[in-house]
Amino acid sequence: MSMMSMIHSDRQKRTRNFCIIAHIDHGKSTLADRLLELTGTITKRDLVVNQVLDDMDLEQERGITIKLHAIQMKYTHEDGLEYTLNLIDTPGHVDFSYEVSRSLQACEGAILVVDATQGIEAQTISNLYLAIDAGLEIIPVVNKIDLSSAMIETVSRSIVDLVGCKEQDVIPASAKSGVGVPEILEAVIERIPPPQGNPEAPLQALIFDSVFDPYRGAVAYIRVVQGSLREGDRIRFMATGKEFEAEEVGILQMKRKRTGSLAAGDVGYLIAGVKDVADTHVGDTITHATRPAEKPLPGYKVVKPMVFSGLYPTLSEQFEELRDALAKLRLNDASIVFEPESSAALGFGFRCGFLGLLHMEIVQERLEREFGQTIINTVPNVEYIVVLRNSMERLVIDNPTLMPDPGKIDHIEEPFISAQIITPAEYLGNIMKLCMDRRGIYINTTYLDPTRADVRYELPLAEVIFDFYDKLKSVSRGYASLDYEFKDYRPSDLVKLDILINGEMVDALSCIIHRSKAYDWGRKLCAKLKQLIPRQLFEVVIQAAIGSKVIARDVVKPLRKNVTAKCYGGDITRKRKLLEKQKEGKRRMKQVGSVEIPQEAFLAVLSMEQ
Amino acid sequence: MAGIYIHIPFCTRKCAYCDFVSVRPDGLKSPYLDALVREIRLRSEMFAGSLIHTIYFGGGTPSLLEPSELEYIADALVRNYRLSSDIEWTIECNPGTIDAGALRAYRDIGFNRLSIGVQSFFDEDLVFLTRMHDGREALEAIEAASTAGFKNIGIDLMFRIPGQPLERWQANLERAVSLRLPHISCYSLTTESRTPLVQWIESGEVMLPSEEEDAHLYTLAYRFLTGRGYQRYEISNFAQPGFECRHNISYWDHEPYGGFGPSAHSYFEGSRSWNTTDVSEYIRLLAAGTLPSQGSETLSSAALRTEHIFLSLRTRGIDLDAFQKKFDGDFLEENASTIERLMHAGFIEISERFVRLTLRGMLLCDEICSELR
Repeated sequence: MSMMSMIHSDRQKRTRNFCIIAHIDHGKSTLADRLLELTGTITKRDLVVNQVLDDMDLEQERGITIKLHAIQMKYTHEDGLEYTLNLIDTPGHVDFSYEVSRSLQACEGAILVVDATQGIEAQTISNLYLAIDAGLEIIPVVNKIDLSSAMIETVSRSIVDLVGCKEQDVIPASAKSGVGVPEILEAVIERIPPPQGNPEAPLQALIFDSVFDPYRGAVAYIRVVQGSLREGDRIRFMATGKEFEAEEVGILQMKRKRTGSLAAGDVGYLIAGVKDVADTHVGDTITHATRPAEKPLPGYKVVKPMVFSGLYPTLSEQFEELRDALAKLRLNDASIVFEPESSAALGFGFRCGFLGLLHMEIVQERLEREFGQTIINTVPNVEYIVVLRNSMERLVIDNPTLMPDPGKIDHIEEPFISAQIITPAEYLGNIMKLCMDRRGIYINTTYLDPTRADVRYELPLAEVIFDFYDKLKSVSRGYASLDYEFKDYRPSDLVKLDILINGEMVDALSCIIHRSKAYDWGRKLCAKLKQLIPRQLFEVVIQAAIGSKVIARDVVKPLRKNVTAKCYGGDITRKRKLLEKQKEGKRRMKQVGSVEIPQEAFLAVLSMEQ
Repeated sequence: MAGIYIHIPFCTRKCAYCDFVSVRPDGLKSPYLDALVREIRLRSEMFAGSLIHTIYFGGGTPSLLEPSELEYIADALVRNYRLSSDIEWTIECNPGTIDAGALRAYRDIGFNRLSIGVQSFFDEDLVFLTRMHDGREALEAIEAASTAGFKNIGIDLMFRIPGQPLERWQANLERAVSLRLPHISCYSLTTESRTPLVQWIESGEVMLPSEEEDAHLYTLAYRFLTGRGYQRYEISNFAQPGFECRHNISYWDHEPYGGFGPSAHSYFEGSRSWNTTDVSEYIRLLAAGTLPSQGSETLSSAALRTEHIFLSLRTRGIDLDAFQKKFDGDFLEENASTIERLMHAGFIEISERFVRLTLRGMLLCDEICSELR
């Protein structure tokens, strides 16, 4: 540590920047609420709506924090001094681990919340390791001690083992009833070191999140690491090199509060006339245009989408609307990638890249709820590397329909991940079977305590993005948890499986799949489509094929009789309304050749059992 | 041209497959007749300028009314409307509810056409359908109708009855033809929601003959009847030349008609209206001098066009020139690719500027109409 960074201003001495690490449902939001209440940041009445940190509808419904937020509290310690506490929220899902790592960088400490009835989960461990690697002071908390099923001692011991702390460091608490919360607050002040950094040094401010304000543009949430930032300063984003003028600077309370300046150690926001959150990259470093910092803060990376899917409007005339909606969504969420594509079956749409499957679902739901879009999405897939036979050229393929002719392919590589699964030991057998079914490569098993195992596997990402997580939960009665990170690309025996309807290929139903699974998938998909494609005037033949070889076939028999028997007086209105409804239904179907395919058929693929 | 429909919502018992508006007549007859006559009077202005060519008493069971009660209604019609001298005046009746005396009285009142709800000449079918009559009563009713001097007699027959073998359907058709009935309606048993029949089917107690069998039974009727001098002038209706039901044709031709009674529909100058379905409410409203309308719609040109297409295809076909005139559009051109597909598959044929359904097309009329615009 340089001399410069040792300087402590009074302000720094009385500032604590921290976050809460917890698994879904272990009580992070409840604890946050209690802290806000205890510090008088909000009143109990404000909490009626419950859990202030999660302000998107979706987050409240799913009980998970999707986007990060931060909030400042004031607290008078027993030493009589007033402290500024910045609580920085972190997302709790594996899709967003980069964002987690960035918000950890903005803190000096972390409260580790573990549910006394559940024990430590995989996601918690990986985030805890990130926090320890980032040098954060950990305050372990065993939560929900008031529940009868709490295993306070067992859970405390495993925390001690994991964190390497003393048993008396673990604070027993019940965020719900408030027990232990004052102790947590005291520990935040006493155990977490104050921020360092020289307010006079060249500016280095870390962007740990950004949101889009329709009136002000991108709002960057920042932690000033070195130097000071004032309104009117000419600033530069070091990753993009783009320069702006700091229009407004302030701190984050229940709402933004303008302060005019921020200095080393502070957490706050910056508005600089940036139109697009794509320019305020999470992890980027802000510095001054004149007297810039020598280097950006370490750890910045461009987040790459892992899962790709085609999104299509249900009605082709809504293409432009969907484009607008995606563009607006991207203002808020820079990790969405999209570009126009077209499908013979679905018309014009967009190929979109997501951080993971949850991220994809969130985007879909937001498109539907916030922008009123109804969309069809194609089977999600990962990004493959196709190595061509003669040139050995490596093509990156994120859309099955772009797969080159099999004759030209030397081999195909697919992404593998390292997965960490934490589970009660009794479900180990089920989980190993699941991983084997998904082409997993076993690495090892260690025990966190006599009843809980930590299993490591390497798995093809494609096998994980589908319903792996749901399956994992179901084979472990909800107890197992999963964390994973990208490992590498490996050659695999992959084929492109096509679906043909009356001989015409339905591009939107094509997928890239391991040869050993192609037959089963094709058979199931044909059967499913047979259920979903309504009988029509003509016979519908559904085939699954690899290249020109048909591997499964089903037939939807034509209608034989469909005519109203009685059509007098009042029946006429009724009949017409039925017809109008039927016609509207047909308008929403997708036409492949002369066959009408309902949208559910495209969506059904997503819910297929692997 | 204009028609009048009178709904008589009474049945002594509801049949297991029926979802028409009907109640038991206990104590309701007289207030109902007063209400009905009141409605007949209140709406008389609508057809002030028109000659009434057809009247149809349907139900329910109109023949549950005494001749004097029917006469009470008829009087109101005669007094409030201009009836054509060659009017077609139909009454629906059920076997078991009519005898020679009643039938003679009907003729005296002015009825000149009977539609008899035979359904089947076989007791097994009638028991299944929970009809009130048996096969013998069906024959007696037809005989009594001829004796009373009715020439224009139609009967309803039903197919796709669970448990009815093909031979019995065939026998029903043969019997109807041998009785020299000039009009035969053949209805496929329709499963209406919230009827006991549907519950039986859903519970697995009863097996509805398959769609293939249904198609086969219709085809059989079509071939049999058209081979014996009957013409199919609507999907379910067969008649000897000159005995088509003019009243029903007026529905299909978008002619104006007034419907009186609960749930009855009226159509007049592009607008359709309908009465409340609740018999008590119907009586209450009219007792207070209020029209019992429940709703109405003005048919847009698109709605009229949709109706025109399916009503024409169910009957004599789409007259391309008339279509052009009526909707200012070329039906063939605007449906070119669909028509080509349908023709190629043998569902429709075009001759003498008419688009008609083939026999195979008739079986799939609803589906075909959903593809045409």
